[in-house]
Amino acid sequence: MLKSISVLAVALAGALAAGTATAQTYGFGQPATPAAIAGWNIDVNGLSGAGLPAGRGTVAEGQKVYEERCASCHGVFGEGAGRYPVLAGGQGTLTADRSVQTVGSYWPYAPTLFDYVRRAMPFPAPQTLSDDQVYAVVAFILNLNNIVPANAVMDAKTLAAVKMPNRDGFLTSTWTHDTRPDLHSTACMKNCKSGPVQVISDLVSLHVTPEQTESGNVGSQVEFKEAPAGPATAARPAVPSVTFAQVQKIIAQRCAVCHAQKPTQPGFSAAPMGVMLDTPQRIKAAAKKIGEQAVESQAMPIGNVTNMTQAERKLLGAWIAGGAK
Amino acid sequence: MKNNRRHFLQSAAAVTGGALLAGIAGSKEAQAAVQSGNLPPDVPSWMKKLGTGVEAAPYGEPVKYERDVIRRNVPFLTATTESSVSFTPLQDLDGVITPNGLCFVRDHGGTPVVDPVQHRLMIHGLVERPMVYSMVDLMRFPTESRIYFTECAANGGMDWRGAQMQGVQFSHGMVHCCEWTGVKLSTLMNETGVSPKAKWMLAEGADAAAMTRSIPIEKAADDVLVAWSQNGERLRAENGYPLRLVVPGWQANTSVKWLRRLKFGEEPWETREETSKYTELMADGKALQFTWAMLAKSVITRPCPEKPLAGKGFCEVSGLAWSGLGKVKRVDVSFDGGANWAPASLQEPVLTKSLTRFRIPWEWNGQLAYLQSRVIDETGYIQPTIVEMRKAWGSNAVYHKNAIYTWRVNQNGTVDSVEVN
Repeated sequence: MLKSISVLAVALAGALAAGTATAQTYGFGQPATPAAIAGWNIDVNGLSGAGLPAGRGTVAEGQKVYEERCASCHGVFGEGAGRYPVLAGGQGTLTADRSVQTVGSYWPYAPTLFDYVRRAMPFPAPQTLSDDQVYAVVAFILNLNNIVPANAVMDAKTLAAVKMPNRDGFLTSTWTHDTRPDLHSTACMKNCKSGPVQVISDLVSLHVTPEQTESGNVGSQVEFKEAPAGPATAARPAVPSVTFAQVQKIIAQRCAVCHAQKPTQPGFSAAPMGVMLDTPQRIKAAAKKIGEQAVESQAMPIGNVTNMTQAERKLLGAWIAGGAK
Repeated sequence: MKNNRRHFLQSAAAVTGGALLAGIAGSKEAQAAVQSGNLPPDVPSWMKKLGTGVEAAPYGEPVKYERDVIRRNVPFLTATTESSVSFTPLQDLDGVITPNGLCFVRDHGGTPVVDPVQHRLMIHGLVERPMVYSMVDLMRFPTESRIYFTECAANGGMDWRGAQMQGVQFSHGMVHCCEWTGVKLSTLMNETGVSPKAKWMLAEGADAAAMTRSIPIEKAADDVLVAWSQNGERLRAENGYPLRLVVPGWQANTSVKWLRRLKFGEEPWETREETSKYTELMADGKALQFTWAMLAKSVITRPCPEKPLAGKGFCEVSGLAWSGLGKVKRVDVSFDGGANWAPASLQEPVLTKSLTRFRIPWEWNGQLAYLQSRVIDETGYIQPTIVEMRKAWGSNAVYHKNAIYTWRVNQNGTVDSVEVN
């Protein structure tokens, strides 16, 4: 017994010293045939475009496919319905307080769009578009973002040559404990604060946490009920039940794509009626009009192209009723 | 039952047998217990009749009294439940192992139910021998079992701009910790003869999202598992059945579920999930890419908003700490919002890239308190404060929020999520 263990140890040491090249192989499995590989080998390299298939598609063809298969979630103009991803616009917002990360504003490489649409879209029926249809939809989405012209034709060569606006926006660095930017070097143990502890953020006003009942979730995004009465003894800052940040988010998403100094919605070169809702001051000044148009008559957004929800209209109404602060 | 916090408080009051907080009267449950005839000196009813037979539950379930211990999602977070996340109920768990049915789920195209007989793993690209493996083939290789945490890069992301989630399930529940069994990826790399020219590996899932991530060869050859078992039994469908990658310590998204393909190449693929998603937009408009490792994080799971304090006096404060870079070295706890700290005890064994349970005794005097935990890992990395994180990151980031978290304990024993200076 002792002898066999030492033999094994010697064999193991030999294998380790020689590295993996001489490690044992087992011979299980079947060789992957070229035909089998061809059927599954769908990846496209985003940087080089390697793997892009034969085929082609135009912006006009893409618009047709997009309107039939994509627009119900992503919006006619790529503005995104509800919480579905926004595909267009947002350029110049990456340093804004609320960035809008879209194909046009954020994606660094165009072939990645082909890879993703082919493998994962349309969301309820992936891998049902032909390669020509994928090229066409990609052409249309790039055109929505003003990256390719309306007469563009996308194929393996032209798509790989598209330079995305945010191509140089990414830094790749292997991040470890000493390369991440928020490192601090000491773990203070005693008297670590110069003054008293102050609460800088308190969620009591938000009411966004789902109730944890046995049946799982109830309710939806935000129920605008009165803030629960806090414990009389606990110090809680007085806060309005609707914050301006909530209002600003809705306006940015549903209104300011057109109502801005520089509209991101295709087809708009200036703010309609001169109404701009792109700064807190402008939003607050237009509160009355927002109430008339988006809460009472609901004439805005036109055709509800940006899919403002009833909950959002209710929130805007509550904000205005509370003094629009 | 509808008001969750009230329910928990009532339960707490019932357990402590009358040490009622904040003027809450005896709950229905507490009164029912008194009138049940099951408390001393009466003999409980379940001792006076036969229980069920051993065949009643061929695959057991939690008892009905534990029906609140479930995964939950946040409906407003995502457009659909198929591309969404449900959270681990950390507030109800002890130790470090997450039961399979409670492991958080992040799907991008729903949970497929894959027939293991019809499932294949293809390995190709820069390899000498492109191969296709059935599940039977894979299970013939030498196996390994390891305990690792798995954390979504977005865990905590809802709190980037401020305290938003009133509950540890939602603030920290995109993490689980399991014992995984499978074959080491390095074994399969050797088996197929990966070329020295290969620098990257693409992993692809068999779900409707055909999830893909690029993984550098050094990590692939190091500690990655191709796993089919989770805590001793086969994977759950929602956690990747019948086969998944386990990439220890890295963004959970790289641990591709329903694994169907591994392709070796010279460059990263720059997929949607490593460019437009799972990248960190900084305040200056530039984004960091390939930020794989989940850096050290800790959180107190008791008390927490879901588990308020039952009364003054002794309270064991307990929580979880972990690091994607290695072992947890130390956890400190503060009861005054970070002014003073004391080291907690760590439950052995402390394993690399695994959840670690910490505990510290506390005498609560009934006054307002701000509880925090801070982990230091074996590389010396110290969990940052939220103020430090925002200074470096701004508030446009989504992923990798691992800041020190604060629970405010109110004088009535309830607990709120807040941020402090």
